[in-house]
Amino acid sequence: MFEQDALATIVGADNLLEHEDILRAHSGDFSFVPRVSPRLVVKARNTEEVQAIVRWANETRTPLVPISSGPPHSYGDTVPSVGGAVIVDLNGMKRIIRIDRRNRVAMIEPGVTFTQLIPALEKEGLAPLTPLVPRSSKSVVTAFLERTPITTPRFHWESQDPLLCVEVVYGCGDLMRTGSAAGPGSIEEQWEVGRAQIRGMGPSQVDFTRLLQGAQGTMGIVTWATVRCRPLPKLKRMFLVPSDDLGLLIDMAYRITHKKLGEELLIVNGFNLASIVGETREEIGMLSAKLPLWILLLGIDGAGLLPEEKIAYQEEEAIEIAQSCGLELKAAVPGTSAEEVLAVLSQPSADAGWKLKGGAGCGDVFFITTLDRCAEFVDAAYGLAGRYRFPVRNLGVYIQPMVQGTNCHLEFSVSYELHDQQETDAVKRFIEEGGEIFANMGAFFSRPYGPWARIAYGREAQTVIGQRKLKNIFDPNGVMNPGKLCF
Amino acid sequence: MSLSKEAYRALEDIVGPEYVTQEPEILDTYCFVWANELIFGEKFSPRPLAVVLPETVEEVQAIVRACNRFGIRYRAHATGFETSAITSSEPFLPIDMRRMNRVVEIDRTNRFAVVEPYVSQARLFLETMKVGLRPNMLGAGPSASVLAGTAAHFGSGPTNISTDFGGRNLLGAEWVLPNGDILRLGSLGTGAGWINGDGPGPSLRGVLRGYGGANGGMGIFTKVATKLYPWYGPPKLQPKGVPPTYGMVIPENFSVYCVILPGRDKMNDFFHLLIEESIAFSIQRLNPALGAILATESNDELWELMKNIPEEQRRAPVFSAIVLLDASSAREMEYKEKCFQMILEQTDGTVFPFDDHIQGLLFNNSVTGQGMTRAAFRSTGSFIISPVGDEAVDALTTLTELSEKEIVKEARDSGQIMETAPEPVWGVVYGDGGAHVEVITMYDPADRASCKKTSELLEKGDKKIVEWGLGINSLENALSFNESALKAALPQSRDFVKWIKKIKRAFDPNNAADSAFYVSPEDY
Amino acid sequence: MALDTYEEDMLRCTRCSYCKWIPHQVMSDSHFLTVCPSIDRYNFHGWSAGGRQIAALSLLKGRTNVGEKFLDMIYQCQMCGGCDVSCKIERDLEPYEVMQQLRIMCIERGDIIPEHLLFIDGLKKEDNMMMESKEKRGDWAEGLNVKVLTKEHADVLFHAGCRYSFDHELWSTCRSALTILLNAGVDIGILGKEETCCGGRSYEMGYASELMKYAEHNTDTWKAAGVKTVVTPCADCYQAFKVLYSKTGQKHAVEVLHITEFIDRLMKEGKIRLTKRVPLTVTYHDPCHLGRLAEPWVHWEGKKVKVNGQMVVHDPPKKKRCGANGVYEAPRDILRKIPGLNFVEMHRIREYAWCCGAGGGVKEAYPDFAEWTAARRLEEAAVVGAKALVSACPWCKRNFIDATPNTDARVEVYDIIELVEQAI
Repeated sequence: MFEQDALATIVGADNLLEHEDILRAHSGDFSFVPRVSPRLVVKARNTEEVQAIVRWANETRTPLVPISSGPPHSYGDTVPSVGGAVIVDLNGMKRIIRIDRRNRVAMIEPGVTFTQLIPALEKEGLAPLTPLVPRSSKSVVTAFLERTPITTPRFHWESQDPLLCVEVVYGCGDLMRTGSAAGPGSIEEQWEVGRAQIRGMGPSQVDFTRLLQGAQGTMGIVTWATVRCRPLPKLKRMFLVPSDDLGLLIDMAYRITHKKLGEELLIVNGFNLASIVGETREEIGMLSAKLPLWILLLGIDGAGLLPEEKIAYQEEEAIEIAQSCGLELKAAVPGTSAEEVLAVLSQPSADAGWKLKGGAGCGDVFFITTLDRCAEFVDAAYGLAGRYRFPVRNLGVYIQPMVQGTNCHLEFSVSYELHDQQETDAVKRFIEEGGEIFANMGAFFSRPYGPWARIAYGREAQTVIGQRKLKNIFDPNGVMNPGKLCF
Repeated sequence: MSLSKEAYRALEDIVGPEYVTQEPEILDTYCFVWANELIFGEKFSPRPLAVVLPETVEEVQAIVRACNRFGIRYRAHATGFETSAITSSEPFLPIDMRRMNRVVEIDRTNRFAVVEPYVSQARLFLETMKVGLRPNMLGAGPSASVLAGTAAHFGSGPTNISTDFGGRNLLGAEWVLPNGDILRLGSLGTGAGWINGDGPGPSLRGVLRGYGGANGGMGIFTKVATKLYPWYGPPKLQPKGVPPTYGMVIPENFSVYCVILPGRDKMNDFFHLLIEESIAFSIQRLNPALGAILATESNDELWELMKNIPEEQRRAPVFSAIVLLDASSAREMEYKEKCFQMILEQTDGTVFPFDDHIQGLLFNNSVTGQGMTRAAFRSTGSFIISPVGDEAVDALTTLTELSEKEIVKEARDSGQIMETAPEPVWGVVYGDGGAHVEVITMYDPADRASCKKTSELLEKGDKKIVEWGLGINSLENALSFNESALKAALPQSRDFVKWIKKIKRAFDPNNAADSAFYVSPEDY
Repeated sequence: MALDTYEEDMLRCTRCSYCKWIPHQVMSDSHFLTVCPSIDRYNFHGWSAGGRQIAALSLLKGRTNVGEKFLDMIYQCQMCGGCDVSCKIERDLEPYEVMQQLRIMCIERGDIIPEHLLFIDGLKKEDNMMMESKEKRGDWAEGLNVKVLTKEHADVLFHAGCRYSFDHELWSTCRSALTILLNAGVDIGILGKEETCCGGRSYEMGYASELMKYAEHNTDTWKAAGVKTVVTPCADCYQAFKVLYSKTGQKHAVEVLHITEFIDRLMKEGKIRLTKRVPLTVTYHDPCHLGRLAEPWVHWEGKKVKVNGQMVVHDPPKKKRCGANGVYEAPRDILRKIPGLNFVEMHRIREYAWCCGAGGGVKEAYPDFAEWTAARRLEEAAVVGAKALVSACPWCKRNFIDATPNTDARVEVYDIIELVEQAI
């Protein structure tokens, strides 16, 4: 047809995918959002193509849904909310444009995965800041555009981190570079004078990167981004701190962040740790029974000029903190060792993701709260498990201190049998009704996927009004991922 | 623009007659601020329409709504220290926020504070020290408003290595939008408290401020939550000595150093290593002239010290930095000191041996920003920043080098600005990486020739920084009056300014929030 | 120095507002951070030292005229000098002098506060600031066996001052002061009804010629009486004699002492012994005129020149008056030596002390503001746990007493003389 011809002119016919299987794969995900089939999938290879696609979409009033990560998807944000949409697949944009060791920054295209980035950075003496064991196909840019928490709160100064500058094609088709990348000069000219696109704020008096973060592709399409990296440690120590009392671990986490110790810092329950280190569902089940109820993970990098001394002093400090909390730093707990955990945390998950091992389904509820409130939410989650009748033993809990300990990401994950309708329904209710209950308790759904959008936006009309003003500026024809968030 | 009797009565009804005035003698104290003379050729900018002092968010909202209704342009300020706080090319309504001065909350556990506009850095620091915490400190010094540096204005300061840029500490805001609606940013709006300023979804925090604040051009912030950082010192600092140069007892597990680096490259390496090692509480690049003003009680004393130093020595380039290390324990301090010594070795840095008194002054300056006002203003009466840069460390030292060669030297040789060692720079580095530098020109506001030369220098800075490809002066925007720096950067800035203007139009349809230091709604 | 000689200072004010706060280095409690009662009470920037620099410039430039509001802005200020101390931490400016000269200029132009005029008329007629008859000036000392130096000679002149001479409620304190000195064997006398005002308070209101008049008169009187020392229990008089007379160029060879300095000296010489217990927790209020404003005047003649390009220096160099050289230790030494007395400090002390509120013509023209200011000080005293606030000036004491009904702070008010008397 005529419109598709125009697209083919932009990206080449080979990059237009219409096969039923492909369209079906994009019509739903592990979330419970309604299945809607896209009209076609278009694979973009560079900024020019992206810009041309977006302009085409404006001319034809075609909804676009950008995707950068490979499957599986879990939150419904990449599933069209309306019919006739075109999926813009950026997975092929895999260039690592530049790695700047001195300024600890990498410039990457949206198709670059953690699997790809880690070895590239390693060669330069850097390591990425990562979410908790990202799946191998996870786009680095998407992870950070969506404010996915990283495991290293010390490097997480605020919600935008570690995303810095981006190049974006707005919904209206205009191109812009944000932060200090905005200008003057081309990117190459900026490099020439020593600039490194490392200031993510601005340009000038608006934080344009921030307007794109958490937007689920509703404002535009990012074609590259700079991301903050950390020095590759020469040595590394991981410690496990087990406890049956979550409160003690929370106390320890506060103290660790107050002393600015270590790099990785997170708390998981036994089921989640089992899911991370176990291979099969059976193994996960066995491990889960063995592992302590709660485990705090503390990783200390031996980087910089005095790697041994750094680890030594920080270990001593951490031991003292643990002791003062009635806890102990351990190299191993029943079921796993710190070394094993370190190895798993250092690489992306080799499969579809640690939560979906062995063909299980998984439903997540996550939000932002503070560490001191986690126990309340955990109690409530266990209560809901009883109410909705899903197995408590399959409830994973992940507490990720963020913003250097000022707040935290709290994530409940329920593993369920995909073909068990009762379990599936229970999980669906947990996600939808549970979300409402948590919100009423003070949970902040900063990333309101699927049903949480109504929960989050229903509470502050001015936010909706403000965001719609932005949407009207950057995507006046509403072509970008319509139906998401409050749009 | 004028203020009708009806509009004035409306303001009176909102705040009460005691808190609004149109008396010209009072209004004149709201159109006088440093650097006005560079913009207007005299100390006074156009006299405001009136001045109003609200006490509550409801009053602020009512004032803003009245302004929209009566077609009055308004702008709020906290302490009114900055040019961008109260200067405009047309009469407008300054909203003096000094009555909103409450520390609403300090969450010791989750390390944040909620403050109203007139809470100063010094006050919040005093409050938070008691519970082992501290806020970000702006270079503007202890009297600066916490809210301004977090939400409304630029925000670099000596502690940025450990607290990062001011605007990056914003966790929430109660925000009276330009049209008078109230938006509660982030988690606050959803009832989850002051814990996170981003979301749900795309962050309106990006509209609230960018790298530079909106300087009043995007409504009024009546409360903000700002992130706090660990403070390992005592609950109270111990001053010593007498004015004007009170000293300070340096607490246990703090060490302050004045480091001299042998050259530009070594200085760059020094900053990079300090960023990567994360051992410092504060780092400042400081031209010796600024340091000397900071450490002396008067210009007379300074001149007595300086006048016998041979001119070639006074004019010799010096790359110096002030570094403060802190630690929560002796063990940590031992590690940090060792690490610092290694950095010195690797960069051939030497520590200048100041006495205890000067060390105390430098400590106080590093912790609170106190003394920068002295350093910048005392010698000649005023100063200006241009060019200003914010990016990678190496790029910024190129910026200061070029500024010296192509802008500052000529001005200095003219005798119309303060003579300093080359590269009169104050700079900081950020905990997250990168740096910020300000080329400081000290001029005499009472001297027309000095003002004229400084205005030329400012204009040159706006143009040159773009020519060098090292930034746009407007990025700070404290002195980009009526978009002067943005216009100087055309077409480099056109692309992004267009979007800011669209946002301005969308959020301020009546153009009620004065934009002298933001952007006007009109496209170029 | 006329107002216009300070024009460059006004132009170099940058509106930093440091003048509103105590120096940041000495801040110790977030409730007591400000130093300027005027801006705290009236809020508009004009009610600060910085604002008054602008107002002065505006007037000089002909932008504004002196009207009622202008006068309020200028005169709703105690001239306590706290702003000057804070400003000079950062700057080489003279904000206090600008404010003083602005007042003088107003008076010269005939822009007068009517309430002040009543007192000035009284002064001109009766030589006192209390609108009382000069015939009654010596009544406070009735019955004391003390020399009157118009008839007899003594080494030391006791100058009571206007407030002590006419405020009956305070007479006993003044009598105690004199008695303490007499009992210590000091060869001391008074001028009785021949004593006149020091001229200091009128000067602060802007009546410079009155100061000149009384400076000449008083120094002539001292010379005629042949005294070596003048001692006064009034901080205002002390500052006038020691600083303002010096400022006007009035030369004299007489040693000027405040009563606290004299008692402290006599205690050190063993002539006064404090032996009785005074079981009371007290705090000490530094009177502005005994503290920062009592720093000796710096005489300097020369010119401001530019060196180093545009750096402004004095040629020859001029010592900066920053308020640290007032009388701070003597009263504290005395209090510390009173047996059983528990002495605690407030948050704003010495050169950065909060004013009692009575100075600068405020007590005379804006009594409510004076008392408001004092009430804030009483509250500060209560916060640090003091049961009593001790000052060393009758104006302070009077104002604190008057303010007591305006605050919930239950703090007794003493002059230091009263505690010394109890302890002897």
